[in-house]
Amino acid sequence: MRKTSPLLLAVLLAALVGAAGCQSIPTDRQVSTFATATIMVATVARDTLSSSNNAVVTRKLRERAEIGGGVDDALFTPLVADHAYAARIEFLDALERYATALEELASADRTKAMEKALTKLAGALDALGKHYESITGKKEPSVRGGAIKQLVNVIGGEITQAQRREGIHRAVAIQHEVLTDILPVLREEVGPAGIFGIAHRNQAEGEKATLMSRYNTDHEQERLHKNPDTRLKQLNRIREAWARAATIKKLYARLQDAVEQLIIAEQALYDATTGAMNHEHLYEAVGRVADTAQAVSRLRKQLKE
Amino acid sequence: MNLRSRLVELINALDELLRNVAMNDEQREKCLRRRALLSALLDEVLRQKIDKNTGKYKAAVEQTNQAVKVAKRALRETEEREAVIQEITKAAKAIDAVIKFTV
Repeated sequence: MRKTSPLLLAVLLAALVGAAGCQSIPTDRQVSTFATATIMVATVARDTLSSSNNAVVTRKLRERAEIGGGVDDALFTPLVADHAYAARIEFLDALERYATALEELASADRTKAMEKALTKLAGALDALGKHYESITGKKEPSVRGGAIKQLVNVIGGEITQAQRREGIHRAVAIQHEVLTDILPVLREEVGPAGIFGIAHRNQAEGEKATLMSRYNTDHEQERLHKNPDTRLKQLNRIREAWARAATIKKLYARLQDAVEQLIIAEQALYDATTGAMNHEHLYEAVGRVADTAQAVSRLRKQLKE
Repeated sequence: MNLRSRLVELINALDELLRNVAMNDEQREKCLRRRALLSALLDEVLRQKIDKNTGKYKAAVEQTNQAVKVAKRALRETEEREAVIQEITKAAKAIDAVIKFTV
């Protein structure tokens, strides 16, 4: 058997250590993990706000069915249908698009894929700023427009890995100006005490109380179905309503926590690109946002089942 | 305490009654009607930007608070159950004066 020369081994080892030492911060893997978590949080937040808005109609239909009365336009009006609500949904769409493009750029290995991801990223960054004013009540930072143009200018001819890294750094810096103001607003709105959390829980708790009181009243009046299987079906519907109400309660608390972790990770990522970061902190922050995003995403899926 | 959290607490107390107290059809319907009314008011409270510094606002918070107390008592005391409906109606009128929803 051929023996590997100790000299060759030493050279290889030195090359590996050197490569690890030169690894840029944030690493592609950290950017990718952050982007995936952002996609999850944005998707869950958008779906949750939208289903809360519709839950108000579901509740009103249940009330109308229980206590009678005719129908009118107001019955089918969601909780909010104004410009501010549309801005939030569109912002979350843009956040999802931005994170998808960032993930693609972090994992791109060919010029064509890098070009595509950079173009997508520039478009998504532009869209992120579009709703800045209506959500925060402040003017969009004026430097953003120029910065996005510069990002697009990275594209041209063959894109090197260094240009790709530069693209990621610039994108993180541009997003920071917007997200640092918008995410705290979102964190309050998606929490249990926000208007969407309150309205959604009201619908779920109302459903539970209505079904339970109907069963109890039927029992009181001795008119429960004679067949135990039919009664079991009714009881299982109540159990479903119970589980749903409990999940909705948890969902808003976890969603708020996920947005909080996103704020921390976004700041850590930004600090990493400016050199002001603590490596350990970035590692922890990205790991935590990934965990909380997965947890909230699982809860949201439970609600859909 | 603000009106929003008080109103949520009143709906929660009414739900607790609906879930745990045996009622006849008439009582149940009265409770469900009040719940629907309170929910409609809550939707408006959530939508609107309300001035918290008016006398009407403070009166609405106080009246809602009173209804919460009676609803909690009604869980244990049968004779309070009719009073809950009246207290909720008073609270709803006081809240309506704040948001102008016309109960």
